Amino acid sequence: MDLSLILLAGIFLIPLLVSLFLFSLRKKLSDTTIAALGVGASLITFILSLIVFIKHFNHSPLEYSYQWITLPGVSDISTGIFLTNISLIMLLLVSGISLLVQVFSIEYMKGDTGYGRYFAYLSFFTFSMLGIISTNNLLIIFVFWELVGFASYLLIGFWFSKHSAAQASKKAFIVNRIGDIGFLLGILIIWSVFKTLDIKELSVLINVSSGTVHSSLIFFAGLGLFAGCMGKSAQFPLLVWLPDAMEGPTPVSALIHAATMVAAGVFLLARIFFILDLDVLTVIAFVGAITAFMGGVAALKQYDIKKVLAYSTISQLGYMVMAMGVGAYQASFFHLITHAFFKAGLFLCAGAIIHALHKSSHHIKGLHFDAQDMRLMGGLRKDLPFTFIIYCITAAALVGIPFTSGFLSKDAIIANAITWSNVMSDRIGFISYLVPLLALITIFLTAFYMGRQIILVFFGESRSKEHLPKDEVLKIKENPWPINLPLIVLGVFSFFFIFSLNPFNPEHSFLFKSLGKELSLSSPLFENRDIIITEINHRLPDFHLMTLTLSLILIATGLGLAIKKYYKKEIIKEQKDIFLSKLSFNNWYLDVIYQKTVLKFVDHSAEFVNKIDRKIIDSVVHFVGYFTVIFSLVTHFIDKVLVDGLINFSVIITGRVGVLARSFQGGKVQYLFVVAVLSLILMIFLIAF
Amino acid sequence: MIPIEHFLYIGAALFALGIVIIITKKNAIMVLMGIELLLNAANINLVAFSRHDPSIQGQFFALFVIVVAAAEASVALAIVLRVYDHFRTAELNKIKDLQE
Repeated sequence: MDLSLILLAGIFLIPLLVSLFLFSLRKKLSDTTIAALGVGASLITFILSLIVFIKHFNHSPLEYSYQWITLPGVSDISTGIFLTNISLIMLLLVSGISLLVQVFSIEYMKGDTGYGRYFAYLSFFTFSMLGIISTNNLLIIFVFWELVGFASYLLIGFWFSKHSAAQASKKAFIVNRIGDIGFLLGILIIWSVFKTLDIKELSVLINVSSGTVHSSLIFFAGLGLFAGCMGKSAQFPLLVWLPDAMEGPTPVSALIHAATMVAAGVFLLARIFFILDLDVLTVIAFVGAITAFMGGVAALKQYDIKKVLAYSTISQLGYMVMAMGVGAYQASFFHLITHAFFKAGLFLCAGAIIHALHKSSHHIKGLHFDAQDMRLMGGLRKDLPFTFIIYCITAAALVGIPFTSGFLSKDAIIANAITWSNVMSDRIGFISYLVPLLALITIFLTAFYMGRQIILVFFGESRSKEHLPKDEVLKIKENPWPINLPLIVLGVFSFFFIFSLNPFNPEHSFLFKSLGKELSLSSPLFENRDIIITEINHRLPDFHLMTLTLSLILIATGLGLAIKKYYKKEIIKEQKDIFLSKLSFNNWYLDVIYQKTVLKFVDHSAEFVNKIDRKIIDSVVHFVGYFTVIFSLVTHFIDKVLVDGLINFSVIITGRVGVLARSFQGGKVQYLFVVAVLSLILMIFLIAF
Repeated sequence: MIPIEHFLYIGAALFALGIVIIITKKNAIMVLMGIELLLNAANINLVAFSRHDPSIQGQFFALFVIVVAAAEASVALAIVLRVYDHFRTAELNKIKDLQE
């Protein structure tokens, strides 16, 4: 046990220390040193993660607990490590993809002035993400949650001198924060009900306590925790930050906004799954399905290559969340893993394309060429064949074509969704069928927009000629090895054989079985949920064939339509004026809606509070000021007239008395004589009496 | 026989008159007159008490007092003359050089 803890300490500390080191010395080190340090540290972290994984996978969880805060009268808060199977898998995933992204960035970020800052931020992100995965305490998860949000802010706004990038990073952080309000409320409710935030203790307490706990409290706690997931994993209505986050460098988008950070929300749901009761899960299922649908629709009309992938990520995250909601715990997590690989692969391929296009236009002076605009691409199949192949493989995994990894995970999710709606229709009626309906439509949409993207980018003729000066050609070449190596790895991991030997049914794979060990669903508190889940597992095999055929039909239809519309068309006619087109392109006008409602409300509240501040609070301050001045004048008066007057009075009296006494020295002889006589009489009286 | 108190009353009255004259009179010579009256009042007292004394010491003392009064009056007049030479006035309330 102890060796693992030491390794874990290394896994945490190496990225953190490298990050601090690189950040402080970023101006003094050469680019090669920075890259070597960053990638080297990443490699070591990955190897250590691998060792820990091999030692502890499918064994009892690795645990370590440390008493952090002792509060009198209340139970203590402890922090520590709690690595179960899902954490171990995520450990490998995060460190592995971080390594690949850093290798990719050696070439991609070459020549950028912020080279050292970039690698420092990436290492810091890795550290924060590993923190979320390994800890056993909800509060510490929250701490690392915020750190990950901060790392994302730094990385999205990496080129902060660009106004849109700075705005996007702020937007991401603020929208995230809104979700975190709910998260914190959920944590507080759990603390007040169960008096502990330790995940292991909670799972024990859940099994023990029964009718003593109010069911509505559990509902709101679950909802609150899901709100955190909504913010981080870009669910509706908090999905507006992810498209804007594409302002960051493409490897960052690959690491954070495809593979790892956005998956943190789904990971959280997996961790706390035992606390979520049936009503929360139903809400989660609907939110996930709606998000998947919205993301798919919005991807249809984008012309920026990264925006399509961003909306695709939103859509796939919707799938994962929906899968959690329908109780398909293993399928959801499985999709998280496969999605990490193929989405990171897609993003890195897009990065390779952007990088190649940038380099190809360097020799043309004064050209403002948006390398991300798909309308300027075309025919890249001939110039970048290797990238094309990897792109096709990863896109196939995204769409869910058989023999890829994505097919397995998506199939599992859809099957579970259909079964769920079947079981739930007895409880909530026909509306439960909306969930799988949206999911199936999204399969069609996914096939369509990916087909559209591949055709626009790789097929046809290059459309950049209109934007170039006369007689100039783009010299597009394949990229060097730091870019291609991660692409190969990610492409390989998009196939089925890594995850399951059976290309059509993942349920017997080692992965699936290992994920199932997490749950111990036997709490009397969640009877409803457990009944539904067992029922789903019971009926699941009936819907397998239906799912398979439906998905294949939808994929074929989607791809076919895309080919019909876009393949071998000279001029790409996209009707921009139809309302549906505009709806898709503007992301359901969510940004506009938020601007007009929420932001307007916030602005008005700020103005109102400002008015109160100036009129009421400032006038109080003015009043106090005036009062002080008047009071000081009164005091002045009292001081000058009364106090000084008193003194003057006593002085005058003393003067008069002195004059009187002095009058005896008047120089008049007769006064002296009077005094002598009076003293004589006085003495006679004294002696006589 | 005249009771001795009558002589003492007269002596006291003359003494008081003498003090009043000294205090109230402006002219320096009038003050001297007051002093003489003072001394004579004292003489009356002395003689009155010598009636009961066979060695009539009081009367002898009174003779001495008269002689001393005469001498003192001449010295005082000489001083008043000198004061008049200096201050050009014999009025006491105008001689204020010792005033603060």
